[in-house]
Amino acid sequence: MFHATLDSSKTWKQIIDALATLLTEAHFIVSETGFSLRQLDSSKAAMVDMTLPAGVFQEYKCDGEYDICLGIDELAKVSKRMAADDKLEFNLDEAEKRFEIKMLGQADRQFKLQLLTPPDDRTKKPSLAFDVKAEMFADAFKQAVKDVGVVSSHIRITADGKSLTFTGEGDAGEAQVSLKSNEESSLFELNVKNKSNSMYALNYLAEISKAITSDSIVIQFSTNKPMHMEFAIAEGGRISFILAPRVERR
Amino acid sequence: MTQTPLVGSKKRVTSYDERVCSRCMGHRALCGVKPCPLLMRAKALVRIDDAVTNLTLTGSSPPSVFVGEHGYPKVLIGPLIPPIKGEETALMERPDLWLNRTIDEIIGMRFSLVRTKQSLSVDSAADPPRVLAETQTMALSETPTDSEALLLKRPRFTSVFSDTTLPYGPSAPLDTFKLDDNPKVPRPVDKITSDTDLKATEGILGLYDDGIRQQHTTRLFSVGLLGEGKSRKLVPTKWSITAVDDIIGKSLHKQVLRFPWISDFMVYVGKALGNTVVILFLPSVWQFEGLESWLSGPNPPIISDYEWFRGRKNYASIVVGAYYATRLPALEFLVKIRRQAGVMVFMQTDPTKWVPLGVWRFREIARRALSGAGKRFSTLEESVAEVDSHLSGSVERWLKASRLYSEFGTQRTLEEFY
Repeated sequence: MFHATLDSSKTWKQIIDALATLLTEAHFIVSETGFSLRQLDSSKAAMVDMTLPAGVFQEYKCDGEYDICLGIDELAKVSKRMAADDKLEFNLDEAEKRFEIKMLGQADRQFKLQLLTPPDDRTKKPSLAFDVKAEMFADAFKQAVKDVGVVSSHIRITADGKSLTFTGEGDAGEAQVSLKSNEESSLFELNVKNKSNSMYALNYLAEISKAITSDSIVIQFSTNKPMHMEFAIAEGGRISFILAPRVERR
Repeated sequence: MTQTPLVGSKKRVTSYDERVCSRCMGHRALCGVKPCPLLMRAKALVRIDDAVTNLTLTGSSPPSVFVGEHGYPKVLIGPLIPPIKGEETALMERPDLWLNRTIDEIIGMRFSLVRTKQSLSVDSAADPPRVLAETQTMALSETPTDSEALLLKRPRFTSVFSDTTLPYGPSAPLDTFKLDDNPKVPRPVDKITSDTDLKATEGILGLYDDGIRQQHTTRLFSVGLLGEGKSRKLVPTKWSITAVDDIIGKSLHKQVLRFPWISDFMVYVGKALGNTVVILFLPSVWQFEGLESWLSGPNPPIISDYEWFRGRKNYASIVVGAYYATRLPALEFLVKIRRQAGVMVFMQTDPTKWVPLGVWRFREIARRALSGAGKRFSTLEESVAEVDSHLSGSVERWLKASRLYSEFGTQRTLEEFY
């Protein structure tokens, strides 16, 4: 038995939009502690890892653990129908294999989505230790990705003790965005154990940065290792994206 | 082909055809050489103006309809009718059966089709006037239908080749048109075209699932027999071909993303009518690139369009129709083997053996190649060497033009970090 309510349809829409940047199916695992989701995208280069503790929801009841696997297109279409002040209610119909989404507002509307067969294995998280941890305004990160995107299809991120630098080059020329860690900067925390620099594909970062809905973001990476980007959603929820690096041709 | 002479320059000046032929395909006069040498060659092959002598035209349409794009949303539309009766005219609209014919046979067949035309608003498809209603009825048929057309003028050859559509013969304004025969309508076609609550996309996919030939589906879409009742529209033939390739392709793309990756590199090759299509499958997530070269001069340009695994949202404006026409067979193949792969398609046309007759040849050559045997390789280098052996000139030039190739192997996966 699973039942939850959420007062903000905006939060739900943001979650679905974030998942839709990388996935074609959403494989939620619901348990007593809350919602979670961890999946690789089809290219296996990126992962989305999300936790929504039970406290995010106003009512939350779940006895046991369930796999709820749904098509992203269908979820996105349903979320488009939500009005801004609708309250949402979620239920699982185990017998009919349906996930119910109710929108309670001027009218009470109910959608039932068919559950898909979940994958056999649950995705594990790669065990990563990072040399760099930086926290900044999400907007600064988004702008840096856009700036480098003007000339390049990939972005090199370099961190030393004082600054975080985004660079890229292409046929048209080069671009560089530097964030210094000081009072005035949009970079408000920079922790560097070892100087690091690593390259990532811009098309992933462009999609991921669109999904960031919070004011600030924490990025972590090491030289030629995956980058971890994390931001908060609702009260106590979080979404992380992990992206494998791009390397020079072997 | 003709080479512009070099005067006072060490730099090699490219010949006119090298710069523009692969974009112009003989009908935009981009090169400024008039008449187009390619067209002249085609014209010489058939004596077009002798085909029809008076204003009454009776014959069995394959069936075939042409909807022009010029002047949209007011377009010229009408059935294509040969001055011949009988079942054998079916072949005139069956490019899938042409790969073993000669260019001259194909041109002979297509140029005997008289293009009749009437100017109609594209919205008239929802509530068709009589001639259009009769044309739509004909389009439903899967076999040739005897028909009679009264023309306003004698057919004249106005010379249009297209990079996308099949060619046709002389054209004439149409007065009246009627069928002398009942159309033979397959059941799924009847069911889907009479459903006025079904969206065009769903209709096209339904026809595809029911095994209706793509040419037939494209015709139904073009004459405005698919879609929700009031929003049915005439669709220019050229757009309808690519739209159908793309709509079916998009639906297969979704399926392919769920399949496991292939484990080896695979190469499939097809050749016909002066065209070579080499298809290279890479063990990766779905990604696609269409590379095309019109062989002319020593260093012909190579054009490219590509998409990453999410597919593309905008039109492939460089390779245009050929992109969608080869993406579809590649996706069909992957669905059949239930595997996912990256795909590079190398399309090469020898203009001394080919005249612009439409993108169908790339689709059909690719389909035939993929229904045959391919070769497997364990490394990229070996598979590229195989590709090289089927193309004129060095494969290096193709690879230089390729985005997929330059990116391949550069993106690591998270699985390497567990």
